[in-house]
Amino acid sequence: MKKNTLTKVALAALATVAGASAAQAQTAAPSHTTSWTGTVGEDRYGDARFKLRGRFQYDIASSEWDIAAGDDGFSTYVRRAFIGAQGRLTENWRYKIDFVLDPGNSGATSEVGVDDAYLEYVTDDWSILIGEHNITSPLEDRISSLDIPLIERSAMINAFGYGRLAGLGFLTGGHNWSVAAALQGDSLNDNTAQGTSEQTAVSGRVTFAPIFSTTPEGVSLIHLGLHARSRSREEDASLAYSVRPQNGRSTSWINPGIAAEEDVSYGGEAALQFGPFGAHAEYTILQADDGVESYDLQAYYVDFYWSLTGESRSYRANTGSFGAIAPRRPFGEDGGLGHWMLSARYDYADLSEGPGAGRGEQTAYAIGLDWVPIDHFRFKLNFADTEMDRAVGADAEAQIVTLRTQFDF
Amino acid sequence: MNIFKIAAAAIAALTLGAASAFAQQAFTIQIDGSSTVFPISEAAAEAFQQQTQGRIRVAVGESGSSAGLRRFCRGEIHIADASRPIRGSEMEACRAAGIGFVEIPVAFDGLTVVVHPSNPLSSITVAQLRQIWSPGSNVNNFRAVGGPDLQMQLFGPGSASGTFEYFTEAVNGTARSSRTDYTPSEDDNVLVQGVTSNPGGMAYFGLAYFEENRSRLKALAIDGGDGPVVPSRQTVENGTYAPLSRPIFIYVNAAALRRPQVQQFVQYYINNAARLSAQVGYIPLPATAYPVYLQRAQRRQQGTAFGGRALIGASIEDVLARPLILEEVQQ
Repeated sequence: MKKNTLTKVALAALATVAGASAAQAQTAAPSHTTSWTGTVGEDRYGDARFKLRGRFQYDIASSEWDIAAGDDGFSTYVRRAFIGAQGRLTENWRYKIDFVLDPGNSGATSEVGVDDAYLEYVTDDWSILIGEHNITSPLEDRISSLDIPLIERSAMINAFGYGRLAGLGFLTGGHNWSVAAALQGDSLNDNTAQGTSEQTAVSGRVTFAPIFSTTPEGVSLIHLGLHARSRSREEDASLAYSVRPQNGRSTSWINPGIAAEEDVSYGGEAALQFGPFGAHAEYTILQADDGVESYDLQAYYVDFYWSLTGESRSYRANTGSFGAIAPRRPFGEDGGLGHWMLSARYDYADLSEGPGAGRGEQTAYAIGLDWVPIDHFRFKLNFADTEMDRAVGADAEAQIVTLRTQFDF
Repeated sequence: MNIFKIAAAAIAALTLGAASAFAQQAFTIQIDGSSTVFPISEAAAEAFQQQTQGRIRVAVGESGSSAGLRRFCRGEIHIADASRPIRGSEMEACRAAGIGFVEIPVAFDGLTVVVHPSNPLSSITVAQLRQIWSPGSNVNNFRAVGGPDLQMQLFGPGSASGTFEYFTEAVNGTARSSRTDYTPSEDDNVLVQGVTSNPGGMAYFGLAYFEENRSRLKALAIDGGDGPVVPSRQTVENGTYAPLSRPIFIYVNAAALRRPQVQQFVQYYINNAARLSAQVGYIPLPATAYPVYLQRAQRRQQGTAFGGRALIGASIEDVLARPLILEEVQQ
């Protein structure tokens, strides 16, 4: 497919959806619907609660590299397809599980993974989690993939291997602070052979919001956070670090080729929200040790976003993370436009220490436009320009356009 | 890089379109909650909008105390009308969402039990009310409570109502436990209509709705153990109309009180609460109480005087004597 046809496809898709939902708004309630009890709200049986969950993210992407070895191309793929449930049996005993389906790979493998998969014992002041979770991850990893400002998370999150692991977690917090600690092995999606010891990780995160107040006009917030993690591979696979161009699935051009035995990372995070304006910034350094030498890596990013229709992102102080944005005036309801948001990102990763020829730095710039016609439906259009500068050998630049269509329930 | 330019141009065009379509709207103070408090808030909103010549708009809803406080603690409205104190779970929800609140008692209500004017029954004991309204009750004739041989037609507030919560707690002993085979509505005018058009009708709601429809309804005297007492300004003020006398409140978003429009409106509301509440049929607090609450609004003093619990059978004196449990004002 020709490159600039992608933009046309993207715009046509947006226009079609806009037209369709406008038409929908004018007719009576549809008699045929895919929603059933449990998708909206939750079912209650005495103290018990049950809610079916799901999310679907479908991307159309076009990437263009300035070197022949790059991955030029146009592709469509399912980025995430989850189905799961959350609920509680009593006030104290709760659970959440999301199964990760992978339609694009179903021909090759029948594996089903898990995302969040834990039980939680909750009291008024603290909770304990057992299972697969990421409660000590840096800010951007703590925000659901449904609610992050750009389509993909930053180089920092991806290169340093943040994400979910299985083990114990402890969470406590108040109206403007949170503390999380975790003792974990590897992910439940990674089966270590019997007779070998899997990796271990100890981590923690604290957050504090010196300013946090909400009115119908929006949220005023200053969020600060610190996090640290120490991992040891034991007899599991080596710890590795590499980074892809922003918002793409293509080659990790920058890959320092480190095969670490242990690593320690720590970082700081800050976020602001003043009405429709907001920003995140995070900085993390990681020290990796392959048993012979140690390598210092670092990464940071800054995101800015602006809600054209005035909404603030919602903030959850007791977990130090952001939630969804519901449109103030849903699309099609007396002249409502839904929620429109502009975003911009500067993203940098310094992976220039390491034994591999692919070591180097990556700098990415991205801009995005989001449309949330009604709560739980979202379209994201992103343009990212990524410069990949290897310490030795060929530099590369990739430009990637992605349109995401997503819904959740 | 062709595609990048086209895409950037598309984003710019969409942005401009969205930005221009998002017209700036006049500032509107959003109020929702108790239908009992609604008449006072509506009167305050009308008078205030006249005084400010429409520069500040005030929109008042009446979806019930619980529904209003739920919206309040999601940051959707500036002010919640409530016919009961805020609950602990609601305080928790507010806190988690970064919402501090300023509690202002605005008046007293005598929750009124009404029947059709043709019904000879004129008083009822709290125990008889419990007989009628308790869960699973099969009392369907006024004969069972010392009245005429007349089939009952029951009307009452819906479950999002603070009046429902107060009445069930005061009469049945447990908040929200009630028989369910009655006609519910969050709109008190629907309840009034139900009783006026059914000789066997019975309902309960705030005194203001009785006062407004005095000629078409009959208020029952309530016997809480010391003889039957008719709801009136005097019996609520002197504390004899028990246990159905209760304070009614507005809860104001503390951060929103920084906005001159909201601060101005709340001050207007408090300064005129005595007049407006009497006008619509409620019982004003003593004149000395309002300056205290005015100061509370001006200083944005947060917290509740009721500890997140229900308050049953309190007199005006009890309410005024309660100290506010202050929460630190953020920033």
